[in-house]
Amino acid sequence: MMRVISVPLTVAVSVLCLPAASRLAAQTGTIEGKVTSVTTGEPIIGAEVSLVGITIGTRTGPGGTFTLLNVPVGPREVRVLAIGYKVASAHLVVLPDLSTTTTVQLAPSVLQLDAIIVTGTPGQARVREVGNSIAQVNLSQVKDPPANMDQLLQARAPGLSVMQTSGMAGEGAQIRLRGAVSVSQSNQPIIYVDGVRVRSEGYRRNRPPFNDSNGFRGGNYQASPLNDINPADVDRVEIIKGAAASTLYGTEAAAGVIQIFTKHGLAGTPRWTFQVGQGFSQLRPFGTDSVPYLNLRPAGQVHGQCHEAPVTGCSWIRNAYRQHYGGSVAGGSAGPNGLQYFLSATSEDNDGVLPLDNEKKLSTRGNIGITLSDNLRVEWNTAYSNTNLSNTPAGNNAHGLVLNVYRAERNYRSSSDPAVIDSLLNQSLTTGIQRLITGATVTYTPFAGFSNRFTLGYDLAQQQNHNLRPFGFVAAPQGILVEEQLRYSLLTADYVGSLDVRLAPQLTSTLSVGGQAVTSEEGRATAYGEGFPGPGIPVVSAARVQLAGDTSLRVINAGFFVQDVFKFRDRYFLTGGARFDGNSAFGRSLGLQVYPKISGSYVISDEPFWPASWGEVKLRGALGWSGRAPGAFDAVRSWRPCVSAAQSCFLPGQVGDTLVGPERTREAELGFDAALVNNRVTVEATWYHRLTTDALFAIRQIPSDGWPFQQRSNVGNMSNTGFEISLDAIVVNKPDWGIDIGGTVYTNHGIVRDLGGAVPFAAGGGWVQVGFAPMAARGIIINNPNEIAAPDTVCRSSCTADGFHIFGPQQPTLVLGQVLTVRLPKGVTLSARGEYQGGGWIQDGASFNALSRSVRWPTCAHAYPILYPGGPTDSLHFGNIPQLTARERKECVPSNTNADTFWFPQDFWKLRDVTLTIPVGWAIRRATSATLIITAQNYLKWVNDQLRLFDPEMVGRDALDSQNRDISEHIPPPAVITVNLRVTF
Amino acid sequence: MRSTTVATAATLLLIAACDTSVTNPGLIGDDALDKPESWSAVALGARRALADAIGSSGTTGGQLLYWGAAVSFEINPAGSTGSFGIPTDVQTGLPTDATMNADWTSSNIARYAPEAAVHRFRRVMPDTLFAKSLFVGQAYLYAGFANRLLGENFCQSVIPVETPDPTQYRLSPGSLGPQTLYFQRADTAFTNAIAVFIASGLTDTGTTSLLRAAYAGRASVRADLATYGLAQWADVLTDAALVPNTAVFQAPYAATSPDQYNYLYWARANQSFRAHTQWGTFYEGYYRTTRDPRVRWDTTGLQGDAAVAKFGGRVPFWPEAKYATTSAPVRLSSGWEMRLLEAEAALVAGDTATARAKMNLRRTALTLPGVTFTNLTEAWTALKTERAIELWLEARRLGDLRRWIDNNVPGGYIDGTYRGSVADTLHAAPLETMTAPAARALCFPVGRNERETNPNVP
Repeated sequence: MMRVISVPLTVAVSVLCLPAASRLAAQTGTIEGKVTSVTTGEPIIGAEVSLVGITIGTRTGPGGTFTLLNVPVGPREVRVLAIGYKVASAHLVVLPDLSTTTTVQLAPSVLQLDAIIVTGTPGQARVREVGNSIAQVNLSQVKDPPANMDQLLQARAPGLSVMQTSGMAGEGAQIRLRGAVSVSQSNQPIIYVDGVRVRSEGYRRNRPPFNDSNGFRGGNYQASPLNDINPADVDRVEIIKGAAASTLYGTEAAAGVIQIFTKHGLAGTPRWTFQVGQGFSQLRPFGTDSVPYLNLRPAGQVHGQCHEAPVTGCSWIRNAYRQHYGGSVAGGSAGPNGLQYFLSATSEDNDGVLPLDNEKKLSTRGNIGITLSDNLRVEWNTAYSNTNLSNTPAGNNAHGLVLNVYRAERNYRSSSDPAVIDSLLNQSLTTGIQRLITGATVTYTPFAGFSNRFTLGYDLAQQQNHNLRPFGFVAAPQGILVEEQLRYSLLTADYVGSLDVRLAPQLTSTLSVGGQAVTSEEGRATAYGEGFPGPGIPVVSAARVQLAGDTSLRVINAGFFVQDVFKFRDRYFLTGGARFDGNSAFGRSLGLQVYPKISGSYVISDEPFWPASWGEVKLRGALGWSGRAPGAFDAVRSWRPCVSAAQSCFLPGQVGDTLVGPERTREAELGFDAALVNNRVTVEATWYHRLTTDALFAIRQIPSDGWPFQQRSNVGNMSNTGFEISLDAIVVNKPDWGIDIGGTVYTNHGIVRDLGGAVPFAAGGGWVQVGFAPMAARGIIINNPNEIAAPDTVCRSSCTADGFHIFGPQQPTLVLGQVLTVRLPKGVTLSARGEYQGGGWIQDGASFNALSRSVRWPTCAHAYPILYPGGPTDSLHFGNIPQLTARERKECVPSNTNADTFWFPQDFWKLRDVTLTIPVGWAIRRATSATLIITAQNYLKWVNDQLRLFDPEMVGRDALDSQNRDISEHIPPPAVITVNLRVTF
Repeated sequence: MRSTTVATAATLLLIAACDTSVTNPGLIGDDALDKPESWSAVALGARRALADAIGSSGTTGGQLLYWGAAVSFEINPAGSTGSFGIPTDVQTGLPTDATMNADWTSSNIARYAPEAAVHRFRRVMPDTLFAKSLFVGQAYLYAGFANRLLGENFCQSVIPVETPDPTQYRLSPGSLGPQTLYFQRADTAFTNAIAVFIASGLTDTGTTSLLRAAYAGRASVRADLATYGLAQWADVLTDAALVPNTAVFQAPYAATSPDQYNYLYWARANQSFRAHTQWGTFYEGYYRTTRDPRVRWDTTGLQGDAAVAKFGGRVPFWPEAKYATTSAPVRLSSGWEMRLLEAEAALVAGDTATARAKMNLRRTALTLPGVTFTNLTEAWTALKTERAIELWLEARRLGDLRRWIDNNVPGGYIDGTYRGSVADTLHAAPLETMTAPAARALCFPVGRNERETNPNVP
């Protein structure tokens, strides 16, 4: 196993740089001050205090006080920014070796119009200047400590859909921003961490290659690289949801951008933070009343864990222990040659609810900022994580535990005896992932109003999959071993220069130009061995059959952009720009692609005619284009190398399209942000419309033409329309207590508008037909499911040409979020978040797989006594079929089963978390603050009646990148209950 | 100085942004196949594609042998319906066009690969070499077998139309036609193969084997055509006579990679599937009685891996033993099949004595008792039974059944379920037959994927 960089090295490099902090410049003074609320006079803790034009800053401490050391003498402007307040400044003169004092009062501002955002803009921009909606998640406002980044993002912003995919340890979530923009390409948003592009596509499943039963012999889930980032290191997340905002990111950004900003040190004494969490995961019922856990745990469990003592009445699932420990230190010095640092380390050890599931993770981070001179600053951020996963064989895996437990005596071992099934756990599925993300940003400001930023970033992930069924394994007696090494890297080089020009007394312009190159590489080497001579720890080279395989893929995307922002009276803003892109996957004759953008914002509440009592309102609109590149081989007519009885051969591969280019997504959005009723009510509303032209559809080739694989070509158009509303209100605001409520509404309706002459087609588990949602759920409708009658399966509406029914989209069309926060005396808060997702359809493949194999399935409990009156060993009495309902006749008579009838609405609601936060600083000596957080996540849920088994958030396999939603033989995501203690010194 | 550095870096970045060209390893560009060093692999691609279509675990592999065996009672289902199992529609004998998608695709790859190879060789080889190249001959040979596979298994044909273009092999979508078009196309391909092998002037064992395979292949498709009145039995006899009894030509499989495994074997290899059985087939009782090695099966003491709806429960897992390894090859042609074609030609002519003699050649070699019949109809029944046994599990049975039933060829059929349920005993006569009204399919529908992509196929 190759390690990227040792953890001690990361920390050591960071620590060795600390002495630089002691170097001070001559002719300096000190600024001491206090920040208070203009309305209450209360001190504001944690406000960001900085000097305009000089890279010196800090945060206010207890009492709202701050100190800026080593400030160059002369007139200075102190700028103060705090969450929930308008930005404010104070002008003063710093004298040599003296302390100057000031008090800055902040007026409340819920909209944060002067807060700085960077995502979707060339450099920094104030919120008031930005014409598109941008969601922000500030960790300081997140009540429940997230277990990972997926959980941090879940149900936080309208337009953001985070769907869990199973309950396996290490499982990632499927993230969509405003639904899907592409039928054939990934819809995962691209991800940046501190300005460095990082991998967003899921890791490869730990599965045997070479068609060992279609690669199902594993845990059948996908880990997400997003979860390599430690949420405790995150300061905030900015999310832009589509092309209207992501134009400057170019060809890869049509599905939106998530930018993560990690914590940074601020000048001042070191602040130490320690965090410890203990808890457990618990599977919640997902079956019927008689089998709430579908045989994984008997209704009347009388024994312990089956893997420990496999006897009748035992349980295959457990309350899984979770623990994490973390610490960080932040601080630094101010002034020229000042250095700020943030160092952290976290260790986690989380068992899964299945017997072999465990995730161990170690994360470290070192963020260093150095001010080399008044106009030159360097930020260097490095994170390293090491994840070790152990998994239980699950999913659609005939050698797996879950499938065979579900199917009881009609499983692949012909037995429901726990001792027999336990033999399947005699296999080893482990995955190691080492991740290094490092990046340096140099900011050079030769003179006021002209800034240059150059970022060089590198993201390297290495993955090792170990998949062993040892000699003597019950279903492969001679053993099978797969060892796989994968390497993913992204190299980012990014430059942006911005020049502010005053065009008129009240009109300024910010012209930005820049360029970006992203080189993505993936490499995989696999060794497969089958048939070992005897017991012991095997190696592939000892196997009777030894196979090897490797792949390597390199994609380059590079481009440049220009943008100008016109600002008039600091309330009218107009932005125009364009990005020009080339990509190695484009067809040879395609050349550069151009993506233009235009947006505007208007802070109407800054108009003189606007009464202050009406609150703050910003109107905004944006129109922009972005794209998605085709696959690396799409442009090339190519053949697959093959082997025929030990001789080399060629088979038809990709037919090739020399004109293939990116699909282009145009997005328009209009909206407003408002803070009303004395800032007690905030509303953000956005209408959006996306149109993807030159859509890359994987066009099926005519089979009789001899080319087997689908060819991506730019042939169609599709659109998405919807709106997003978020509303937060302070319902009760008493000195000692209060109640806040909030809610979000997000809709998304996609439709295929044109297929470019292609006939409707199935792709990736969905159906693509003009007039319907992209990747729609297509199947057979049972019009009379509950009637004692023959199934009426005639399609009478929303039909395909061959008589199938199109149920609807597979992605939700309506997502509702609910937040309730109760503020109690002594700083105690109780909060709850709920989320409803509706409008989508999901296919229950696990039930179909079982019922078509004559497995006794709980959904047919009513039918079985009729079909098999003599009991389970009786033969099927076909003459009794007329006594069944139409659905039972289709599902419970094995020869009638058809996967096309197993589509169900996936509407569900989950209580994402209930969190109790208790300040306990009084109990810990010398602590600046301490908080005890007790949280329960996903403990309650409601699932629509038609989906009688399972959970809509269990799809597994390659779920992160896939378009379809298909339940396989998995477990749903468990509830998680944790107790966390966070202490700051 | 710093401004200059930053500006230089920015300029370099912009310049770098203009070059995004990348050549990735893996797939091979079409031009590379024109080179002589690629020709062998081009020709062998046709062999691999044919093996895949008959039934391999490859990415684009089909299951024509497997599905055909299940539909025509050569095997019975014993469990799984997905993955390596037999889908419920195939179990009931009426595969849907959707089930046949992969098989239709793989069979067409098997036809396209050699036909494209011939076109490529014609374009890049000197004419003198093309006329005698064994690569060309092999491409023709596999084109013949691929077309036969399509004709004997699919109900209709769809053959793309070649657009004249000397620089590349360009095709326009074809239309639905009778399956006999495949036989005629196979006849032409075998004829061309024979011409090339003869022109090569080579008489080594390998070339002789290829030549005999081409004769045997042409004899078999001419028998198909002759049954439909589209060829002469005399021509069948001419070719068959050139193939000695022991001649065998096979589609190879390999144990070195699971994607080259013999699919029928792998589907019953107990890893973890036990998807088919000989329990309840004609061959169960026949093998018990005769021990004819051509239809050998094994008892295991196990049951199939899932309940079978047709029998109302689990059934004994008695797998076929003709294919006992992952690398077991599947016969494409043989001298023994030629003897049965000679017997069939004799019956067409009403010559039962010659037919009996031809049929018994093989049985005698296996020390089995000879066939018995008292009239022409019984002789036909015997002939049909002998072909069922001789060509058992070789993706040939459906083709035979269809040509005989379509053309009202006399004689009965052995096909049927000899057990009605799990608890039932072995019957002396079939409970189901291929000829019952609305019974089982005699051929596979063209894949739904063809209908959904080809504007000429409604």
